[in-house]
Amino acid sequence: MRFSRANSAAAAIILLSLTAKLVVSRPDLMPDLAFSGEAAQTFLTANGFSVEVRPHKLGPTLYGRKGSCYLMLAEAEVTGVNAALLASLAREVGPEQFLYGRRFFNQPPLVRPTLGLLLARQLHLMGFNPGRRPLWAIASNGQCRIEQMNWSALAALPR
Amino acid sequence: MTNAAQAPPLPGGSSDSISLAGLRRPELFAFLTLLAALNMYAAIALEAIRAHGAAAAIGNLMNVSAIVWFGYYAVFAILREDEQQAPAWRSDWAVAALVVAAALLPVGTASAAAFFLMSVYLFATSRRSTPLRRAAIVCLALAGIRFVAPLLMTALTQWLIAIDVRFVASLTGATAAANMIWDPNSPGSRLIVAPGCSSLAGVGLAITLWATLNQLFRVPLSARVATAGIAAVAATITINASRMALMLKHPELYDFIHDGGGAEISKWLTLFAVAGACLVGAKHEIFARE
Repeated sequence: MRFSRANSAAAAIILLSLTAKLVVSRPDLMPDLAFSGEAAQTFLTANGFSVEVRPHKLGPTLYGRKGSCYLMLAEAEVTGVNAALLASLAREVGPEQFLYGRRFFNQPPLVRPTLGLLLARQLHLMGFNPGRRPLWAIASNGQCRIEQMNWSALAALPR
Repeated sequence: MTNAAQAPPLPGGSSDSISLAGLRRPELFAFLTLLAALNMYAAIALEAIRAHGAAAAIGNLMNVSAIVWFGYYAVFAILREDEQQAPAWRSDWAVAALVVAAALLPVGTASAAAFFLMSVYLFATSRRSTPLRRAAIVCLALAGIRFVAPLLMTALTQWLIAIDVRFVASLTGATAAANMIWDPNSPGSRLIVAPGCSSLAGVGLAITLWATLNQLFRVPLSARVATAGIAAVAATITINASRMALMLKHPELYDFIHDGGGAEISKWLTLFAVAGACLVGAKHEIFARE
């Protein structure tokens, strides 16, 4: 053939590239909402709350009570899939806030969580275990001083 | 229409061309397209094989739409039509290095990003109506499905879904907020629309088939062709919205419509509607070739 060396090189590149995919191939990183629910339950219990967990297809919602403080806590998907649902549940408790890392927001932040999710997914697909930084929706009855609580246990999760 | 043979050379053109391995531009870009496509879809194919076994995965086209496979076939078919066979340019090799480097990374998204850049480059460095330009247009549509659409879907999910949700609400008289629709007259009926249910993926496929057929059959852009494209997109959105409206109005049929036979029916209905619209738009050129 006219460019048999080029053909061989092309075949080698294709083979090598697909081998790389075969070796490191793993399913996409999907937020494990059951796991984050358990982490949230452990966190609230450790902080002295009595906890009620209400399961839902879009992830569990937790309700914590400690003295006069009553709050709702759930992982808010970065893509906003459960945003409307959580907003409607939060209305029954109090004003909704969002926690990303260690910062609180009145509206769900978009850019950093989206970039964080995209990066974590790519690192995961490349064989690393970067963990992920969940976005939390929190609503409280105004008696909780939630910003004074130490939320670092929920800032990052392994899956 | 510009005659490629008489047009002045493009910047970075023949004077910069090198004959490394004797490769011609169409050959080089055909190889890069093949390499990127295999690497973009490798993870999806492996997942399909893991989940359903090799035979079923092959039968299911590796969980990749027939429109996408047809698009790649069209790229190769169009590139074979190139009679100029210009030698690869120096800048082509820089793009080739990028696509190869991305393919060697173990993540398909890198190939998708590189393929998108390659498509933009090929579009910018080819002349109107030439096989290279026509192939570039199909490549752009294919890269749109695999790179641009998922990026948009991640970043703009709430806004894109809100468009679908409002359309469904206007069809059914239901109430909508963000990605949730409910019928105030039917307590308990509530539909939460997930990103996978958005019309965006279907719209991407409709645009791809439209671009593929028009470029494969050398259909010049006209009001009729543009209308066909708009009709294909409108059909996709309407069928998807009707499916959601049925799930809202008949919650007892949810599983059938969402995952069962109803999902298959809407998939085929969409394919026929999109293909029909695109073929009607391109019918003169298709018949002229026969």
